[in-house]
Amino acid sequence: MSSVWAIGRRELASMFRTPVGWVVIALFLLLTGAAFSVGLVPGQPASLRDFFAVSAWLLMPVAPAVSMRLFAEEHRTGAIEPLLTAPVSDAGAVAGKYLGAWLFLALMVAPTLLYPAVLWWVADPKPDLGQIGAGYVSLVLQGSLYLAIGTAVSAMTSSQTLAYLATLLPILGLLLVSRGASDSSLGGSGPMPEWARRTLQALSIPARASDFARGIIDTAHIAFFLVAALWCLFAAHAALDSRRWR
Amino acid sequence: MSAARRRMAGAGGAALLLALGLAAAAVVGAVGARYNVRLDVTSAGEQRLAPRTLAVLEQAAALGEVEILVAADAASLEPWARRAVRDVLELFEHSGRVRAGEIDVGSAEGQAAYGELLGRLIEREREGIDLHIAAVAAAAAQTEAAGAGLEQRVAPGLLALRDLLGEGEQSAAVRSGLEQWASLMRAASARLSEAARAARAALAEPDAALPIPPLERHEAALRQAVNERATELDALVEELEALGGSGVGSEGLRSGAESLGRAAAEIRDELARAADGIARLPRLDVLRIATALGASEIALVIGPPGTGVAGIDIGTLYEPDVVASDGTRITGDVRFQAEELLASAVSTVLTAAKPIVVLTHGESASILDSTEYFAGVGQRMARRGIDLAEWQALHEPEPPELRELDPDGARPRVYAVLAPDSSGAARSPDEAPGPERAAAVGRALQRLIDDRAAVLLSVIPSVLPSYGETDPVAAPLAALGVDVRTGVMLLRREASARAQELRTEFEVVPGGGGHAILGATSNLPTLLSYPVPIEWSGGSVASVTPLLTVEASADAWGETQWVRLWQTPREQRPLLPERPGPDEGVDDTEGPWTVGAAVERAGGIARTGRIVVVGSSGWFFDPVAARYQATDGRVALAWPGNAELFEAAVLWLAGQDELIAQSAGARSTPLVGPIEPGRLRALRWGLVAGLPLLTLGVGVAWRVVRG
Amino acid sequence: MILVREIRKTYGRVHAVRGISFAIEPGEVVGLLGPNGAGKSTTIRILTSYLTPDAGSVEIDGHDTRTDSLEARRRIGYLPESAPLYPEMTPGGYLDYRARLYGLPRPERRRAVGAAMDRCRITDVAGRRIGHLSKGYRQRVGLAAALLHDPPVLVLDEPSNGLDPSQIRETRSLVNELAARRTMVVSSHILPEVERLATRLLVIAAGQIRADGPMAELAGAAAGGGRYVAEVQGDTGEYLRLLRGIAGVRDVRAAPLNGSAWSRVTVETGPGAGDPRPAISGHAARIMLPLRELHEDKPSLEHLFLQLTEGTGTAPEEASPR
Repeated sequence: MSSVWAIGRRELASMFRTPVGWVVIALFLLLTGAAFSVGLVPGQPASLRDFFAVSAWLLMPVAPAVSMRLFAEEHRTGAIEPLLTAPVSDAGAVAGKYLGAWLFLALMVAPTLLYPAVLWWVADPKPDLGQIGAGYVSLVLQGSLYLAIGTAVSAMTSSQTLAYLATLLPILGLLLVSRGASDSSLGGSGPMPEWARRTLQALSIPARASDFARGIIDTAHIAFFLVAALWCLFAAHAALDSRRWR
Repeated sequence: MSAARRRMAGAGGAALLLALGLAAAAVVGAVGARYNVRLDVTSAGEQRLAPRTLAVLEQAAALGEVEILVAADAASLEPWARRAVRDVLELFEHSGRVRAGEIDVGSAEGQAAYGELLGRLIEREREGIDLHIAAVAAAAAQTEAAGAGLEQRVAPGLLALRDLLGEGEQSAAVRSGLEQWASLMRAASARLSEAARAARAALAEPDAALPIPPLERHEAALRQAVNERATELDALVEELEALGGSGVGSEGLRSGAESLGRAAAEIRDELARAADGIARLPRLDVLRIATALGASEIALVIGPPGTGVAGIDIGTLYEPDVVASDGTRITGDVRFQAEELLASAVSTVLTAAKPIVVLTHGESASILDSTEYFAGVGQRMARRGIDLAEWQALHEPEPPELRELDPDGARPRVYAVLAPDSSGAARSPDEAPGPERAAAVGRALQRLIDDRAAVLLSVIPSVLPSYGETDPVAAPLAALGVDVRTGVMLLRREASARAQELRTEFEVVPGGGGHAILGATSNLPTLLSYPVPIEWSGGSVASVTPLLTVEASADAWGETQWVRLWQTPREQRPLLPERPGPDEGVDDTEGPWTVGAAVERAGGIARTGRIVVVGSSGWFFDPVAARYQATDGRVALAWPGNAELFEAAVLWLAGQDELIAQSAGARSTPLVGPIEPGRLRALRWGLVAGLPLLTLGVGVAWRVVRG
Repeated sequence: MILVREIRKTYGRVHAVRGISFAIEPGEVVGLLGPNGAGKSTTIRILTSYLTPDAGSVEIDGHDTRTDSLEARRRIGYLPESAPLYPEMTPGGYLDYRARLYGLPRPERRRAVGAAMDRCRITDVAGRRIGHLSKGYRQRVGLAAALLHDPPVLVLDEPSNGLDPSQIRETRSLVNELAARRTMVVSSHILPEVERLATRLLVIAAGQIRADGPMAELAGAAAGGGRYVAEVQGDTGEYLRLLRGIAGVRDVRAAPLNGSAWSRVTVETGPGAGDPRPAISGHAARIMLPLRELHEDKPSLEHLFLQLTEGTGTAPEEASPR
C-alpha cells in the first residue's frame, strides 16, 4: 500500500513541477469564478446550481488533460520499465497513478469552496447547504469517472495527444447520449426500442447530475459512477498487463 | 504454442474478462437502480412533496388519471423559475399518481403539442360542445324566425291598426304611438336578424385560436339581444291588450289589436324559448377557459373524464411578486408556490361543487357583463371553475335561484355584497337615490346573514352616520359584535415636492398568520381606496381575525369630516380651501386600523355563515386587481394581493379551505441580500480574478522555493 | 540464483528468443553478448519480469517470475537500457520514490538512499533536476536506484551506452566494485566492456545461445592456442622452414606486405605450446633476416564473436519494442 501512495504522491508532485498544473487550476478557477459571479445578483435567488452546471462541463476538457500523461508519457520515455519491474502489482500501479490524478482534481476543486462561503455570507436567509453538498458530491463523482476513463485510455497508448482525444470522446458521448433518448417534454420516443432507450438513459450523465444539483442523493447514481469508474480502472489494469505478454 | 495464437488467446482472454466485468457492472448498476434509496438532502425539503400535496395526489389517484401540463413560452421565463417549476413537475411525475409535463409553446414542436392538447380537450367535451352548437343554431333559427315575424306580421299589423284609427285627439296620440311601435318593431327585427346572422357566421367559422366557435361570446350576445327584444315585446303586448280593452277606436280596431297582441305574445314566447334553450346548456370547463386557452400560455390540470379542467395563470406561476422584509418587491419562492398552486388546482378539478360568486349590489342596471370591471376577475375565477352571477337587490328581494348554473343546487354560493354610494341624490330620474339603494342592499345583507349564507362584504364610507343614522349596510354586522365604522374614512398625508398631499389610497402588505386566507395573502401588496376601519368587541357570537391592517402613523388618521372631499372630483382636491386634517377628539388618530377581517360565527353547521368584511369598495375590480405595471422590464400585477384576497376569501367562505394555495412569500427562498454596487463589483472581480491569481502566485513561489 | 529454462518469445512473425536456457550461480558475473537484435534485451526483460515469455520459465532465487513475480522482482536491481528517469525530479527525490516503491520503511529509506548516492558518487548533485544532469550522472542515478534495496542480483542492460571514455571508466570501476558481492548480469554489444567485467560469457545470436562458459575458456577456445606475428625482409623460404621446426608450432604462413620487400609471417602454435617468440627472433637473427616486428596476437573475443555470430549479424527484425 505504501507503494500505491508513493506512486500517487510522485504523480501529484510532478503535476505541480511544471507550469501546466498551475495554469490548469488557475483557468478552472477563473471560469468557475466567472460563472459564480454572474449569478451573484442582489435580489436573485442565491443558488450554486449554475456554478455546478458550468463546473461539470469544465471537467470535460480538464480531466483528460490530467489523465493523459499518467501512463502515456511513461510509455513514451520508457520509464514504464522501471515501474513495471519494481515489486508493485499492476493493480497497484494503476491505483497509484489514479490516486495522484484524483488528488490533483480534488486540489483543483477545493478552492471553489470559497463560493458557498461567500454565498453564506451574502444571502438571507442562508442558502441550502444540503443542495450544495450534493452538488459537490456530483462534481467529485463525475470527475472520478472521467479520470478513470482517462487512466484506461492512457494505459493503452504512448501518445499523450491521442490519450487526450480518446478520453474526450467517450466523455462527450456520455454527456450527449441523452439527446438520443427522449426528454421530459412531450414527444414520442421515436423509432427506438424501449430497452435501447432505457440503456441510453442509464448511461446519461446529465440526467444523474441534475438530480444531485437539485439536492437528491440517489444511491443508484452513486453506484453508477463508482461501478463505471471501477470498470475503467479494471480495463486500465488489463491494458497494462497486456504489455507483458504482447 | 505459436506467438500469434498465444497473443490471440491473451487478447481473447482479456476481452472476455472485460466483457464479464462490463456485465457485472451492468448487473450491479441495474440492481442499484432497482433498490435505490433516494434522499432529499435539501434543508428546505424542496425535493419532497408536502404532506398536503401527497394527500391530494392520493385522492387523485383513486379517481383516475390526472394530467398536469404547463404550456409557456420558455424564452420568456427566468431560467431559475423555470427550473423550480420543472422540479415540482418532476416530483409530481415521480409520485406516480399524476402525469406532469411541460410544453414549450415557443418552439414548433411545442406549438404542435399544444394544438394536439387543445384537440384532446375538445374531444373530451365533444358531446357538450355539439350540444351547444346545436342549441345556438336552433336559437339562431328561432330568433331569425321571430325577427321575420316581427318584420312581416307585427310591424305591418301595427300600421294596419293605425290605418283603422279614426280622427280625433286621442287617435292622434294612439296613432303616433302605433307608428312608433311599428318602427321599433322593425328595428327590433333588424337587430334580431343581425344577432342570428352573427351567431350563424361564428358557428360556420371557428375562432382562429381554438378549433371551436367562440360559443360563450355568441351565446351571451344572442341571449342579450333576445332578452331585450322580449322585454320590448312584453311592453307591446301590454299596450295592445290595453288598446284592445280600451274604448278607443272601432270594434275592428280593438279586435285587431287583441289578435295582434296574441301574435306578438307568441313571438315573445318564441324568443323566450330561444333564450331559455341557451340558458339551460351545461357549463363546460373548456368553454369557460377558452379565452385563456386561446392565449396559449396556461398551466392546465386535466382531471379524469367526468371531472373538469382547471387553469393557472402563467404569470402567477412563474413570477409571484411579493414584498420582502425590507419593503422591496421581489420574486417569491417559485418552487413552493408552484406546488401549492398545482395541488390546489388538482383539488379543484376533483371537487365537483365549485362555488358561485353572486355579486349583490344596489345598482339599477346589471353590472355583471361590464367588461371593464369584471372581465379579469371573471377569467381568473373561470380558471378555477368558479362562476359569477348577480343579485340586483334593488329589484329583487329574494336571492336568485341560479338554476342554469347549478341545476342540482349543490354548489356553494358566496355573496359578494357591494355597498352602494349612499351619499347622493339619484344620479338620474330612472335611478333610486343613494339611501334607498343602501337600504335595499342592507335588507339583502340582513337576509343573507339570517340565512347563514357566506358573505363577502365590501363597504364604502357612508354619509348616513354623520346624520345620526345607522348605515343599513353596516347594521347587520353590528348584531355580531362587528362594528364597521363607515362614518370614518382613513386618510394619509404624503410629503411631495410641492406640499403635503392628501392620499386616499393605502397599500397594505399582510403579514403571515394561522388563518387560511392570511396564508394565501401574506407578503402580497394590496391596494385599498377610501378605507373604512373595522372594530369588534370580544364575544362568543363570532370570532374575528384581522386580514388587513393599516399601521399607525403620524401621517394617517381616520377622518370623520370627509364628505366635502368625497364630493370633490379628484383633480380639484388640492384646491380645496380647507383640507381635512387629523383633529383631536373628532377624528380617530390612534392606529393601527383593521380594514379587513374574517368572521367565523359560532354554532350552526361548521364552516357556514362565514363573513369576510373589507373596508373598501372596488378592491377586487379589474382596475385595481388586474392592473399591470412594468418593473425591470417585466410586466407584473401591481397589486397581486387584491386578486389573491378575493380568491382566497371566496374559497374560505365556501368552506373549501383546502383549495386555498399558500402565497409564494409564505416561505422565502434564500436570496442574495442587498450589496452596494461598489462592493459588489469588488466582490465579483475578487472572485473571478482573485483565486486564479492566487494560484499562479503560489505556483511561482513554489518554483522559487524549490529551485 | 538465476534459472532460465527454455524461454521463447515471439513478436508477430519474429522469433526474438528461441529456446534459451542457462543457470547462473550466486556471485557470478555474467556477460551477455550478442549483436543488435539478437534477443539480449528481450531475454533481460523476461528475466526482470517486464515481459512474460511465451513458453518456458525463469526462477530468481527460487521464485518463479510467472507465479511469484513480486518476490522475484524484489530480488533484482535493474538498470534498463538508456536508464529512463523522470527529468523533473531530483536524484534525491527519485531515489526516495524508488525506495518507497521497494517498500523500505522510513528510517531505512534515508540510509539506503544516502548509501546508494555515496556508492555511485552522486551525492553532490542530489539536489539538481535530473533533466539538467549529464548522461554519465544519469546513468549513475539509475544505477543507484538499482542498488537501493540491496538486491542479490543486478541486471545491467548496456550500461556504457552513450558514455564518453572517462565516464565509461568510472562506470566500469563502479560495476567492478559492485560485482564483488553480488550476482550480476551485464548485457552489452561492446566487446571490451564485457571482457573486462565478466567472468563468464553467454553469447546470444538470432535468439539462441551460441556459447556459454568461463571467459578464459571461451576466449582461448576460439583460437585454441597462440598466434604470433613477425615482419621480416627478404626471402622467407628458409625462414619458414626453420620456423616450422619450432616445437609446438602448428602452422606457419607468410604474406608479402604491399609494395615492399617485407613480409608478414604468422606462426600458430597449438595448445600447451610455450612462447615461441625467442625462437622466432633467434632464427631470424641466425639467417640474418632483418626483423622489425614481433608480437603475440592474443586470442580475442572479437574472433569468437564473429565466429559465433557469423551469418546472423543484426537481425532483419526490429529492435525489441519498448
